[in-house]
Amino acid sequence: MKRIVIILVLFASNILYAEDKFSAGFSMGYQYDAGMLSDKRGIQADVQQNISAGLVLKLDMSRVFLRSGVEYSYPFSKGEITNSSAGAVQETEVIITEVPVYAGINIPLRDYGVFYMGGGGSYIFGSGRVKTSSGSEKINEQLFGYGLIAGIESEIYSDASLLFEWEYLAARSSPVASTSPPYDDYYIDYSGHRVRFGVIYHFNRY
Amino acid sequence: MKNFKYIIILIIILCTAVSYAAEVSISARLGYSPAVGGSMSSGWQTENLGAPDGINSINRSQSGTGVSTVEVPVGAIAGADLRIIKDSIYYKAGIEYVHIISGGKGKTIDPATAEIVEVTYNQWSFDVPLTAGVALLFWGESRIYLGGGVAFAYGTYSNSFKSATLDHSASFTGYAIPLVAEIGCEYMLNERVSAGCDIKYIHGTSPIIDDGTDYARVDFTGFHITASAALHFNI
Repeated sequence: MKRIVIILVLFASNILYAEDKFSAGFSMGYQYDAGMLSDKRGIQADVQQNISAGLVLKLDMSRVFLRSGVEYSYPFSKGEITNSSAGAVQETEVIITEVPVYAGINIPLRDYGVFYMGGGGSYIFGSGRVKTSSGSEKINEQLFGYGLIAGIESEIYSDASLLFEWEYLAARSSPVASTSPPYDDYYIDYSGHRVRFGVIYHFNRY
Repeated sequence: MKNFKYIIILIIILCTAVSYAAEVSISARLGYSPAVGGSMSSGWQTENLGAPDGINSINRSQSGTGVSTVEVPVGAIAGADLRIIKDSIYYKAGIEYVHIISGGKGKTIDPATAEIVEVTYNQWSFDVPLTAGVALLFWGESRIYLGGGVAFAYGTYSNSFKSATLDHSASFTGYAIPLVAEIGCEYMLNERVSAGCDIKYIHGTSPIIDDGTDYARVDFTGFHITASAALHFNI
């Protein structure tokens, strides 16, 4: 949590000194196979699919950008394990609150917009639940995952752009539930690809 | 080794391209891979720790036990490459070195004995990717490229498991010919120098390697993201 505060403070202080462009907006996103059930060996499941809504913050300093914000990702289709291939675990409902922290390079495309890509990661505040044959286990996890990001800003007005963004993240929690007691051995895999569409407003463009 | 013929074909194309090339660039790059080594599974883990999926199934916990999560291994990357561009088509050869710098260590529980087991996974590798694709220059100041190809990858994966009654370690060295896809961009700082960023996905594993006490594959699969500085020449 301390690291988040430090990064946000650095982010905010950069805003104060930025000569270029600070942008903020909203995004909607999608993640197929949230929880990565398809990647767990031997498990047969209908994978979880999440939709997300988020606040986008982007600071463009000439050819370099910083990207942050917050995103809430909620399952519109839960993960359902179709047989006993995950032992006692039967269903997942993984909710992700994500604070992305990325930096990278902007490639301006003159009047059309900006292509950008960079590295960093996301702080993840995991919640939700895992349903097992003996009840329901709450998820309460905080972790950081490294990832990468690439996106396109397409201008719709001189001070507003459409945003399309792809993020790949790798992060796994500690065990939160048990496939075969007595030990907890079922972890939540927050890895995977996220795509986002959004609109951002450029506050001090010219 | 049958995939070597594809590498030879790509090298021939690369050499042919040199004689007609409009632009050559040499770049140095640094970066990281957010997840290195795949599952890092091995036969010994399956048979002795009940962990058939390696790092994905090694973590166990119980209240009151002193375990610590074995986290996703993150790798640092250093590399260099040579690229030739002619008529918006590029050919690239390079080398990248990847070494785990964090993650891959922790403590778990042996389900058979209830002992705490110290777990360490490690991996280093280098790969020589040969790629080709499309490179689009925008107004002479920035470029975006997209391509694919193959690589020769070579590396060592090692693991170690220690408890009061267990002491196992193994090391596996192997090679593979993984597939490569990449997207990148660069901004020309002046006529000769550019700064850029590259995302590469490598997909491939070695054959099964048996070190006498354990057997496993070396998994080179993963995303690589690097920042680069490049020098450009016209020939």
